[in-house]
Amino acid sequence: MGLWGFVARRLALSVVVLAMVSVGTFSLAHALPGDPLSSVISERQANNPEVRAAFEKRWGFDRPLPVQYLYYVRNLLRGDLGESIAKRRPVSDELKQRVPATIELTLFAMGFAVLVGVPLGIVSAVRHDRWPDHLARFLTLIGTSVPVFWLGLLLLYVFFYRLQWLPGPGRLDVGMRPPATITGMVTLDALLARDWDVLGTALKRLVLPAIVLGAYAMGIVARMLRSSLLSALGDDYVRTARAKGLVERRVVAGHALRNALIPTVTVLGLTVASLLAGAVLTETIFSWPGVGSFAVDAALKLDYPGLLGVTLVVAVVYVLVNLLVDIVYGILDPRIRAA
Amino acid sequence: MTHPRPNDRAERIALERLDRRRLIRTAVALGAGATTAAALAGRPGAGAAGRTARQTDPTTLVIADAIAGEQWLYMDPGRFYEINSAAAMHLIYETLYHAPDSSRPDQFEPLLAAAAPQVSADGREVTIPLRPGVRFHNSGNEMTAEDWVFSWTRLANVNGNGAFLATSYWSDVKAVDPLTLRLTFERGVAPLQAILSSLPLAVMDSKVMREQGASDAPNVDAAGNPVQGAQELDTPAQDWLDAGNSAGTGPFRLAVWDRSTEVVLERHEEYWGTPHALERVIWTNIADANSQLQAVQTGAIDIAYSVDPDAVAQVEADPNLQVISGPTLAIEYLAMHTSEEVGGPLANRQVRQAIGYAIDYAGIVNDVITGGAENPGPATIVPLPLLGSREAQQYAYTTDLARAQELFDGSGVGPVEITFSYGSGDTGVGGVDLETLAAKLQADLQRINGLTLTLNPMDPETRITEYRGGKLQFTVSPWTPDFPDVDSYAVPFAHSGDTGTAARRVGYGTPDLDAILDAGLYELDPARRAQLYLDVQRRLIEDAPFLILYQPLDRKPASAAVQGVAPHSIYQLQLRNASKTA
Repeated sequence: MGLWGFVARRLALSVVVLAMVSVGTFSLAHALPGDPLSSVISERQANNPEVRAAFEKRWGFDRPLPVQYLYYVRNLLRGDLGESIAKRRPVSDELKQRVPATIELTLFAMGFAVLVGVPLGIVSAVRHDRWPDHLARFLTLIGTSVPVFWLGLLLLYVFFYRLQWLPGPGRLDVGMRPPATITGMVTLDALLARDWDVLGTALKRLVLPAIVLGAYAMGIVARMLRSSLLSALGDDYVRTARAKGLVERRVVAGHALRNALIPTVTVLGLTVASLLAGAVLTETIFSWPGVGSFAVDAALKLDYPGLLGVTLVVAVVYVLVNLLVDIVYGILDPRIRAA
Repeated sequence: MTHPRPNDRAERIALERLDRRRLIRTAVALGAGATTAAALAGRPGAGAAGRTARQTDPTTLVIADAIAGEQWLYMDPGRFYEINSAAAMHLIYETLYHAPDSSRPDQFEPLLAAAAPQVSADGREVTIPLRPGVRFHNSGNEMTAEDWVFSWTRLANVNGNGAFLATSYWSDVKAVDPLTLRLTFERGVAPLQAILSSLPLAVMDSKVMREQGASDAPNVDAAGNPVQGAQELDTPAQDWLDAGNSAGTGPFRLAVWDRSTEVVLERHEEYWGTPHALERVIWTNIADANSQLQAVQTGAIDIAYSVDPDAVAQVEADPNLQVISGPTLAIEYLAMHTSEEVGGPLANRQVRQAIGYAIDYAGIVNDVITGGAENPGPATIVPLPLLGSREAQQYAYTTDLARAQELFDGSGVGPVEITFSYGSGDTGVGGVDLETLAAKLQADLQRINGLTLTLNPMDPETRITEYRGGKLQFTVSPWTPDFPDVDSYAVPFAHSGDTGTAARRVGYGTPDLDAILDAGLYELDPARRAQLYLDVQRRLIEDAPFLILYQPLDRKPASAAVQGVAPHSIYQLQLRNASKTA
């Protein structure tokens, strides 16, 4: 099978996966006990059959479930994700505002994961079984095993409350207005607008949530890199490089690391998608106005359109990343395309 | 010229390496030590030499609240019916009457009315003179009676949660002249000023609103057929208001409303009254109560909207902080289903009364809500200080285990198991953890020999749905009033008709109570009215379909620099006299 055929097949499969996700989420959300209208209409209105009927009509609850789903899909194909019951505004507006905030946080979390995880992985492998390795493994163990909410509260307690070195929850200082929206990512918009005050504040406010969100990915990156680098350092081509008299730094950086990074990069790509979904706790702790905190509100209020919108966004990201990884693998290894 | 010998050089390099290592180790140790020492020190900011807690600008008041949640949905009197955002609404929009004193939410004074309502001899016509010279912010238009007619008609036809306020009490509203409003009633309503102080009945600039696409058109035609009315046509005005605009007369105007981050109000310089001492009031989005508290402690904000009851003592001990405290009209109550089918043994009145005597009320107030409640609390569902609540206290249930056992044994139901449902992970009014409260009730009630209480933690949304559907045997719930009058409690809890929203959930209500309640709404003589509602309360205590656990005080941590702010049972925070010391 040619490359384009392979890509087309993967794309078609992605569409099927997304359709299944939408059916699954829609069915599960509606199977939950509880009345979504209970959170939006008063008791007085709930007891008035006419008013209740009007609200049910507004959110489409007056139709049979399969019909509701078909309407949902029809609207979805038109780019209409419906109106959030909890927020009383279009889900697409809510997501338009929140997705960039989550992407920004995720990118900085990934930056932290790479900037800390890669050196830790290298040190750990190069100083195998010595104290830098033990220290690095201890740090990665903390990153992968400490619960996000605990780490978030601890960092806030130490660096915001006690030391006051870093700001607390929120995306910008109180009363500070973000620059005109271009990308929706405050740091990037501030950079484009050359608003250095806002940029500095936004960067400072990203430090703690990015560390909290990126801690797990940092641990994974460091452990994966350590393992693959250790394996690479024992390979014949590394022995050959050493035999040629290359200094150790060049052997590691120029030969072993290149090969060891391939599986790490793959894992990193997949971690991006899981970070988007994992932002729920971090965003809640840091009052970050992203998709995660919207998902929490939507779930608590049985906001079906909101829940479906968030699930769809996360599913699309997962599918796209997987698609990208599959395609890259297909390019790197033609045997996979034939499978 | 001497050159260092190779060995010397190697040694020096080694020494330099050692120095660098030592330097790094020392720096790390110092940094870690300083961090740990400062973090463990007793006050914030201890790690930064000489730095004290920051203070916000003295002309700006900053309040932290979960503004991205469902408590800040509308800044539009036509649609508003949330609780937390009432403080901001009260600064932007104004009603005919208001209750300025936080400690007396049942005492009303004219705000945009020029005087008290003038009631005709038959009580069916009420004339309200309007305050002259009041201007709307942004436009500068002068307020007239036409603006009131428009605002209330729009409220009714937009059909939001507060629409009943404009449709349930009077049959007609007219502008007699630019500064006179006339209401026509089928029968005169006793709590008129309380109703007219409700924020959804605030006035909006009709000219500006119409320019922005607002509609007050009815949703049905004269024959009762559905037509396109305000419910659909008003959307452009809603979008305009949602974008951070306002059309009120209050001492502040809405300047910014970023739903996910902050709400900014700026002073209305042409305000008809004394301009506000503050230039700006900001609500910033911090959802978690602990993070709100930390933000107050570090000086990043001035007032935290929420507080964990356990943290109040910590705030009181901090000289830089204060606890702003005041009464509320909220109650946390137990509901017991009175039908055999759902209530089982609870259908027996003596069992319900036994439960009333078995509860350790003092323990709940002192230990569960750490003193943050009225003590003694109200006897039944009418909170203090509303009409008849003080007089009813003499009939209140008190902890009396012997009496509880006697009633239970006398009921003849034998050993019973009762299921107590509550919202898992939810908090009751006053920030009480419901898991703790449920465990306390279980311990209290199981002191009755023969009674077993099984706890049933439920998803909060599911619980409220089941409760509203009258499917729960025994549960705990909060209540806040539509307006500060006894009618706002007595009718929902005791009326057997559609208006008895809570009574229906437990299958309670009798025709004779309905008659008393219907009379109470229209009884204009205060003494006779008080007696009617006292009778209702005595019946509720005797029949015990509901039991009051506590009426919380509202407590909010604030910077010591904040002055003139008080919790308010209707506006949540009374900010009209707020100021800050530099």
